[in-house]
Amino acid sequence: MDEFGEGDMRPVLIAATIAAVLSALLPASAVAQARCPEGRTLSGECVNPALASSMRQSAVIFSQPKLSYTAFPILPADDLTYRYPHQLIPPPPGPAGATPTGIPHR
Amino acid sequence: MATPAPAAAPVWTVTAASEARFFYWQSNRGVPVGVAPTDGRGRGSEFYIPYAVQIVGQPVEDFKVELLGRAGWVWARQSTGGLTGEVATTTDTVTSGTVTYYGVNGIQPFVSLNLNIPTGESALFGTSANARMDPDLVDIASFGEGWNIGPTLGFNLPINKSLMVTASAGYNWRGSYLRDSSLSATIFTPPTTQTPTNVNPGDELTLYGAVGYESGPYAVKVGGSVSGETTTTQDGVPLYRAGRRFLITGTFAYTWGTSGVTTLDISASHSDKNKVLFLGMSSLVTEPLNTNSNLYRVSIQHLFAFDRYAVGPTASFLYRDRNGYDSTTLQFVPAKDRWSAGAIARYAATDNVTLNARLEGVWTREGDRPAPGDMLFSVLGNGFVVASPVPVVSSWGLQLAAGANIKF
Repeated sequence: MDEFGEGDMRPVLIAATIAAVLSALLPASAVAQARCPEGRTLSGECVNPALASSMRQSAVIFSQPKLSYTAFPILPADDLTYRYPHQLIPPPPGPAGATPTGIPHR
Repeated sequence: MATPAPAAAPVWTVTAASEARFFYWQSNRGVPVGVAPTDGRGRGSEFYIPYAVQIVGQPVEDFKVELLGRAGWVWARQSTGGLTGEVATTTDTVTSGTVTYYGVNGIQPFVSLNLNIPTGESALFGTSANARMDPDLVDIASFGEGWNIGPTLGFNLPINKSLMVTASAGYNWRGSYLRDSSLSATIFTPPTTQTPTNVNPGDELTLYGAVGYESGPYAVKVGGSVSGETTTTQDGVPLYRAGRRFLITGTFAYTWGTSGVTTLDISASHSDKNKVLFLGMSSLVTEPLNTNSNLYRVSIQHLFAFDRYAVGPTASFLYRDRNGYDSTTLQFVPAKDRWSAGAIARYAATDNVTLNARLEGVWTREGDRPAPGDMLFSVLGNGFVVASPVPVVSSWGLQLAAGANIKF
């Protein structure tokens, strides 16, 4: 190494040369891929993030219809979207319950 | 030489949200409807404050983590003559944690763990049991249950950037909880019982599938689920096993340029016959007719968009058909309609703060339950029991809500 430390530059110069060659050979998208927040399709397109997020939330909520009679694990403002479809699920047995003389469900 | 950009630090988004909701209703009957009010009308009110925190981020590339916790506080009072009761309590707490993997093109699998934590009150003794009101008129009609643990496995399958299929399977282990006795009360007697009863609800397995499409002004999502349950026991004795339940749901939205968006929701459900405990039997038997009703619901709303706020009308209709029994049996459940109409509003106060409000009127009408000679035949009891006729039950209610979402 000389007084200016130029001997340390050789590994860096080699790496720069390799990078330049690769950049010339590979498509730009492979070198600097944009991130897709909700993944990619089979063809490599970015998935519609709003659609993917909504579908995943529905899949979790609708697979747990009786998780809680109080609320689903969603923000309160989303209750209008997910609560009312579950008005279609029978409420828990009230005081009438299921008895030999009562009515099992309301 | 261009050096590679350093890996970006994971970005986490935190959202805190809460609302205040008030409900008021009046009717010619209270709850339960089989008891005639001493002052000729039923009425009640409820004040409910839900609050939640959501955290979303990507701690490492190809993995997204979504966490949410929600709790609340509720005050409810039924003021019907002869059925007065009040309760104030924290509600049960629900939590959810979902991890999604993005490392494979063409499929995005996810796993989720959801919990119901019993921070509410499942057993209400004395007159406080009267605070359980009609879930068609108030948000919180039941104030607690046990530990429920619900794992879900699923995946999104994007067909192209506009069309997607999703599927999931969820199992819900439902823990036992104490309940004020349900054996001594019917719809014809007020729930003023004191005996604590241990209820162990059946576990549930649900399969769900849906197709979603979003392109330009159109957004469509159509899905369905099927659920099966194990037996519910009470103090260790098998009580009933709910019939298999089928649910279909569709959401259709259209964006009118910069004018707003219209959303239409349609849902329907059907449950097969339950297995129930006939008097004198030691095991459950499939009921001869179906005590479950089919339910149908449609709702529509339109939001007019103006700069930082949106406002518009909302309306819905729910129809529950009569169950399989006729009006001469104690197992008869009449048909019921529920109408609602009102307005919703949202205001983006800043880029991180959104305010929302809702005002709705609700009207319900349930068919009558005749009781010739003040007697009805109990299918489960295989005999006649004393019963009171129940007239057509007409109710109206008011629902007011206001809240905020704050993103950090």
